Order: sequence, then structure tokens, then C-alpha cells
Amino acid sequence: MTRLPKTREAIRRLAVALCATVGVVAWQPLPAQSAPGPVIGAPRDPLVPGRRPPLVRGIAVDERLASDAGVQVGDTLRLSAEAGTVGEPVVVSALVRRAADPSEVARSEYRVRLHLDHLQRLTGSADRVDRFAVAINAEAGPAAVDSFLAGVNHVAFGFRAHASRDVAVQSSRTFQVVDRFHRAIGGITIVASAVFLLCILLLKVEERRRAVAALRLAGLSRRTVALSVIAEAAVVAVLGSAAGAAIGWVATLLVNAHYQRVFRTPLTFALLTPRIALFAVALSLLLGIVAGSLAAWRLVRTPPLTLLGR
Amino acid sequence: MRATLAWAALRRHPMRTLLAVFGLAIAAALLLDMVMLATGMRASFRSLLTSQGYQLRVTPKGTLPFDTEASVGGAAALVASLRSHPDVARVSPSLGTTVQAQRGEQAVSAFALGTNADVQGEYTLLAGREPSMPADSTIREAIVNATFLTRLGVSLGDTVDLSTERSAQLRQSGRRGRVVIVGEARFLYVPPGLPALSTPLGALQHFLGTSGRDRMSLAMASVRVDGLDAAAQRDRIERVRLWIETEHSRVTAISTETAIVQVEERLAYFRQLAFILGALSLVIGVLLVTTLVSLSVNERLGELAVLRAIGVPRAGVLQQIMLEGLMLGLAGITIGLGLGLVTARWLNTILRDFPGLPADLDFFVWSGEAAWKSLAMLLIAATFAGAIPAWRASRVRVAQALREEAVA
Amino acid sequence: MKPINGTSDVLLDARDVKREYRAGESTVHALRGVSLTITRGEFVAIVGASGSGKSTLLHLLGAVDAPDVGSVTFEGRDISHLSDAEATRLRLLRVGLVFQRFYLMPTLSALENVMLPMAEAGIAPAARRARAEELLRYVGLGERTGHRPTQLSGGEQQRVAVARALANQPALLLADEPTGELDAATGAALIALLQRLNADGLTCVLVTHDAALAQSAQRVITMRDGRIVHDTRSDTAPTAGDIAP
Repeated sequence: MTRLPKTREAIRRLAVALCATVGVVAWQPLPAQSAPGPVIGAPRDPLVPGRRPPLVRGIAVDERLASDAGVQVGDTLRLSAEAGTVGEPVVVSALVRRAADPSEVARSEYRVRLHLDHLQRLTGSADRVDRFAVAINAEAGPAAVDSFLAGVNHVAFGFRAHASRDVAVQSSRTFQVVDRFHRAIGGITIVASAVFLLCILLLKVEERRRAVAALRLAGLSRRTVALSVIAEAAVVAVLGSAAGAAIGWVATLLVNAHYQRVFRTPLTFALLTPRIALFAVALSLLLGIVAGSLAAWRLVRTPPLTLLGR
Repeated sequence: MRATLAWAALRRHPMRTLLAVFGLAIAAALLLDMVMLATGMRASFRSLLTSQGYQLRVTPKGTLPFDTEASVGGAAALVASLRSHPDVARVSPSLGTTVQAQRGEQAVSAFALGTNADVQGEYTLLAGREPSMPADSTIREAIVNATFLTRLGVSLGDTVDLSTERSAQLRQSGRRGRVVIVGEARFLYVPPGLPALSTPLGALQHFLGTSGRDRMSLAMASVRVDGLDAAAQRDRIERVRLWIETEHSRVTAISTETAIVQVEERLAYFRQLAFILGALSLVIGVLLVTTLVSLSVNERLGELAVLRAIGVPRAGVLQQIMLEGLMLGLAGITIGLGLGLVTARWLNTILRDFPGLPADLDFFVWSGEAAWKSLAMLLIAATFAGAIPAWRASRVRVAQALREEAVA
Repeated sequence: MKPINGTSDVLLDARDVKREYRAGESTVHALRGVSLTITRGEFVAIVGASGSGKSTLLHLLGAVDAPDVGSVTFEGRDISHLSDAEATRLRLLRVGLVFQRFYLMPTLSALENVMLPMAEAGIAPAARRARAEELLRYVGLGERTGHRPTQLSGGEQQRVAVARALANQPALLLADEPTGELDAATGAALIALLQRLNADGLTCVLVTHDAALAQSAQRVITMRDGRIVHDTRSDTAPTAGDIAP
């Protein structure tokens, strides 16, 4: 076992929540004198069917735990199902990278992987599992999945079979809630931005009342003046929203960099898709036209001399 | 008179003022909501954790209460040790597990909680009575939540079969028992929609057999803090917490503060979102007022010059323009307050759908202090947003402005 | 032509006043050295072509602007180097200003417009209301106190502006083209009002293109290119060339 920096000693004492199957195991480093030398390279204790388990079993450690605790392949640790007990020595056979899972993003848990029989023995859960994953022959088609589920559930007692798609729907409930929340907040922000934009554009156009009066006095028709006012508002809106989209894109980079660092995940947190950018520009354009029309309507209805303050 | 002038200036362009007030109202509502979100989760969670008077939670090492199925053995000795500490007023141990409940053809998976009625801090009894602890520890009585009653179609006084596990091969249940439902309770930490029942701790341990013998999932401890100020209370709780962890290496003692911090870490996203959107709403409010007041000042430079010419001092002009910002802010905030409360309720309903959260946990919680502080901040921001144009207006060169006005 | 006797009861005294200002890229020499004495109770009309410097002189006399060179003394006090606050206070309490375009606050009623300077001077609400009503009656608008400027004719607006100028009982009334936006009949009514004010003892200094108004003054000062070219009593009427723009 390698010696660890003192600052990491506390982390080493943490218990490890093991979610792969049942139970929680606690682990601690084995005293240095009893540890075998570290092995760098190929994982020890590969999964070979029918092979007799070695005396010191191998485990896989997720890279986050390995990084925080300074664990390397070949290190020997003690692993127990209950904190405070001595536990059994295990050797770190592999470091694994967990798939980026949004449902775990805020949970700073560590994980280790054990062979099923090893965990069953360690937790006293002989011959017990949480779930089976069953693959149906690909050529059998989706109907075969339903048929299989119906068959299993007809005879099942104490357990139930679910299609992966149903499990996915159920486990994505959190994200459905977050999605609904985002949509709601997005709605509020859009209304706020719309009012803001409408207000600014209206003010901007009204600021040009004297120029409008001059155009009218010069003989330009109401229609021409109104169209020019609307066109100006539309251009300002489009340019503003394009600039906003650019700022938004930079913001997504910052947001992603920040949260990926905080949560130590490659997940993308903010995404500016062409569709969203297009929506922003289109909404701005619409609001620009509405604001321009409102202002134009007010301006062309007012006599030019009144606009000039006479 | 300045207020009259400011009010009159706002009334001069009703459409413009209306839009600005509406924009400010939305900004205020968003700010209020975000402050409620940022402070609400913490307040709600704290209220939930402290509602029964327990400040410490003792769990199997490295786990959060009922976050995993972990339990710790030697519960009786551990509880006795905790109770022996002079600063510990009472200890409530509990054990949680999943059981199958069946009545007739109806069967549900339910969360079973073993706890002692005299010290429990897990539920509040709504109807009926507490289950009694039989002399032989056999499980006989239980209280359940409304979801349990609904899902199983039972009512108080009915009998329900319980089993710990089932063997598919043998078509048999594991350990089995039969309980009478003697009460209905609201379980504080159980998510809505999850059937739950509670029996005396000893009865549940006995029912679970070897896997439950003398085990517990959680012990809540109440520390004596009467007569102490807040800092001293924290110190004492922390001392007891450290003592527990030193004396009992198999457990983790979590104070309410730590639990709140841990939950906040998990829900950090919402706090940060609240912060960002709150800041944005402030910026929007400030921009809106600045733009409106700037334009209004530009339009009225001649008028303001005349005011200065007839003897209104710079400070007077400054006050008048800032009053306009203040009035806009006040109107926007007043409307925003109502709007914010309505949207907060709506958003809270959305977030409370999160699977696995206790029914009593709210994300948006009204706090008078937080509300007035945030809205006052917006009001001050709105007032000072008018400060730059107001300052410009107050510095107007009277003779020059009059000259230019005469030419215009 | 009758020389001015500036020795008794001097209200205003300007000595070699010069003023220039920027107008775009160029510098306008508005006043090139003007000296002038006005005694209490005088009714003075300043006439001259556009750009002759009459409005600038009026602004200097009323502490609206300050000279680059020279001095202006008002009631024996040098007002050419007052701080902004001092000049503002002086305008509020001792000088009444009337403008060509009236410049009433469009959002306030006639009564509120007149009350405005009094409110600024700290006069109690009841007292300022009573005085404002009295002033509006004096200018013939006792029945129109609640009307907004937009609901009043040009002549009425200018009379409200005069009432506003009188609000704090000033020693001097300065009017810049007061009849410039009025028709002949309305202008004549306003001239009569100003004469009545002067008869009641108020010193009035007007800038005007209006020959009728100039002829109603006791003293006519003619300006050209930033200088006083004539300073005459009313018995010597200004020529059309003096007044015409």
C-alpha cells in the first residue's frame, strides 16, 4: 500500500455507500506491514467463470474515490459490511470510471465494485440479489419483451419484471420535475424579458418623435413612417437578441465549466441549441415588431407639430 | 410638491409607466421567489428536522438517515450509552425496513418503521392511538399513513398481514406477522405516496428475526440546551456530537446544521440558480428604471432647466427624479409581492413532485425578513437606478438648456 | 436721447460684462462688454436683432448665467460669482422669470404651477395656496386655477407664468420675449398686465422684438453684436431697425 498524505486520512475513514447491490460496506487501509506490494498494470483477479476465488479478493474502485483517497491499483484495503469492524483484506484490482449519471450528480458518493458472491458473503446476504437484468434475443422484437414480461409476472411471487423503458421513465421522474421547473422559470423569465424588451423598444422609438415629426412634415406618408419605425425596432430587436445569444453561449461555457468542476462530472448542464437561439431571435423579432407597431401607431396618429412640442 | 411633480411625470406617459411597473413587478416577483427558494429549502428542512426537538442524528458510519438500508447492531447498548451522557435529554432509536403488507388480494410494499412511541420524533398521530408493545415482543399493532390505508383499502381497526420477504421458488413469504391498524399518522420524513407503518421498535426487531435483532437504523438525540444562547447551544450540541463519534466508532453523529449543509450540497443547484436569477432580476429592474428615467430626463431637460431657473435647487431636481424611480419601484414591488407569492406556490407545487422527498419539505418558504430585505434591495436599486440620470438632470446648465430649448 | 441717471436706488448694476459660449465648433461672443444700471421701479425693454446678446444679458441679470468678465451687482450684492446654490436661492426669492414659451409644468394645474416656487421657498401649504389664488385672480385667471397648461390659451399660459414669477414677491421681473408666442390682442393684454405690475412698484426688464411692448417701456436699451448701442427713455421710441430681427 502506498502511504497517503495526512490530509486524505480523514477521507479514508469514510464509509462507502455501495449501491451496486444490497448494503453498505466500510473500508479502511490495511496496516502497511501486512499489505502486499502494489501491482501496476493489468487488473488482478479477472472475472473468469468457474475459477476458484483467491484468498484476497479483488475489488474495483471508482476513480473519484481513488483520487480522493490516493488509492492505486494493487493497494490492499480492508472492507467490511459494518463500520467499526475489522473487515477482510481486499486488493484494488481496477479503477473504474462511472458513467455520467445525472441522477447522481449531486451525490458525492464513492463506490466500489465487488464480485456478486463476494458482496453476498460480506453483507450476509447469501444467494440474494436486488435485481436481474434479462436480455431478450434481439431478433425476437419488442413484442417478445411484452410477452416475456407477461409470462414472468404471471407466475412471479415476491418480485416483478419491468421493461427497461418503464424503469427509465420511472427513474427519470426527478428530471421530469426539474424539466417542469425549468420550463416554469423559463416562462417567467421570458415574460420578464418580453416586458423589458417591449419597454426598451417603445422608449427607443418614442425617443425619435422629433425625427418622425420632421419626416411627416417633409411629406412622408404615415405608412412609410410607420414602416420605418417598425423596421428600426425589428432590426434593433434582432441585433440585440443575436448579441444576447452570443452572451448566452459564453454563459453556457462558464456554467458548464463551473458545474463540471463542482460536481466532477462530464455532464453538460447548459446547452444552447440552434433551436433555442432561433427561438430567442424569433421572440425578440416578434416583440420588436409589436413594440414598433405600438410606438408607430402612437406616433403617426399624433400631429407632427404636437410631436415637436408646439 | 416634488412628489406631485414626480407623480405627474410618471402619469404623463401612462403606457410607458405601466410597462415599467409591470417589468419591475415581474423582476420583484422573480427576486422574491428566488430569495424564497434560496432560503426556503434551508428553513423548511431545518423546521422539519427540529420539529420534534432532536438536534442530533446518529446513523451507521458514513450514511445519512435512511439514505441506505444500513443499520447498526448493539442498538440497546448504544442507546443506553447515549442516554448516559449528562447533556442528552432523550434518545429515540428507530429501525427502518421494507415489508410486504397484504389484505385479501391487495398487497403493497411498505416502509416499516420501528420506534418507541414515548420518544419518537418520526410522525404525528392523526387518529386512533399509539401501538402498544406486547410483553412477548410479537408484532401485533401498527399505525399507518393515509397512503397505506388508501392503497390497501383498509381502515382503522382492520387487520393486515405483514411479511419480510418472499421466496418465488417456494411461493412463500419470509417471516410473517399480523397487525391491527390502531392509528393513522403523518410520517414526517416519508415521501408522499409511499405506504408506511410504524410499530414499537422491539416488535419490529423481533419480527425481522436475526436481521433485525438489536439493530437500529437511526437514533435521534435531544441535547439539553434550555437557558443557553444560540452560540452556547451550538457549542454544546457539537460537544455531544464529537463525544458520540469518539465513543462509538461505528456511527456517524450528524447535527441539524450538518444535515442541512449536506442537503444543501445536494440541492446546491437550486440555491445557485436562485442566486443567478435573483441577481438577473435585480439587473433587469435597475436597467428598466435607468432607461426609463434617462429617457424621461432627456425629454424634459428644458423643463428641468426652467425648474432650476425659477429657483429649484440641484438637490430638489435630484430628489424629484429619484422620487420617480422610487415610485416606480414601490408600485412594481407591491404588485410583484402578490405575483411572487402566487408563482412561488406554483413553483413549489412543481418541485414538491420530486420523488423521495418528505411530504412536509417545501422549496419556497415565505420569510418576512428575507422578503422585505430582498424587496427593499430592489427598491433601493430602483431608486438609485434613477440617480445617474437624476444627477445629470441636476447638473443641467440652465442658461445653455434654455438657449437650446429656444432653438429647438 | 436722455442719459440715464444711475445714482439713486440702484437695483442692478452690470459693469463691462463679457460672455461667450460654444455653439458647436464655433465660439459665440454673446456680450462684448456691457455696462448697465437699472434702478428700482424701472420698466426696461431690451431690444435688438437675434443674436445681439439680449437674452444672454437677461440671464446674467437674473443670475441664471454668470459673466466671463465683468461684474453684475443686484441689490448691492455682486452676483457674478455666486455658487450654484446661492444663485438658485436668489432666483427663487428675488427674481421672477417669464419665458417666451411659458415653460409651465405641463403636468401641474395653473394653481400648482404658481405654488411651485413657494413650496420650494418653504411657505406653508395653506399660505401658498391662498397667495397663488390671489395671484391668479390678479392676472385674471381666478376661475381657471385647476386647469392644466394644455387646457389654457397661449395668453392664459403666459399670465400663469407671470403669476408664477411673482410667487415669492421678487424685486425684479425678467421676461424673455413674453409676447413672442402671442397674437396682437393677447400680447396687448399681457403688456397691460406688466405695466400694472410696474405701476405697483415692480422693476421689470424685458427682452423683446415686439415694438408695441418696447414702446410701453419707460426705457429702451438697444443691443447689437453684444454691445449696447442705444439706451433711451420712452419718450424716444426705438426705430424699426433697432427692434426688427
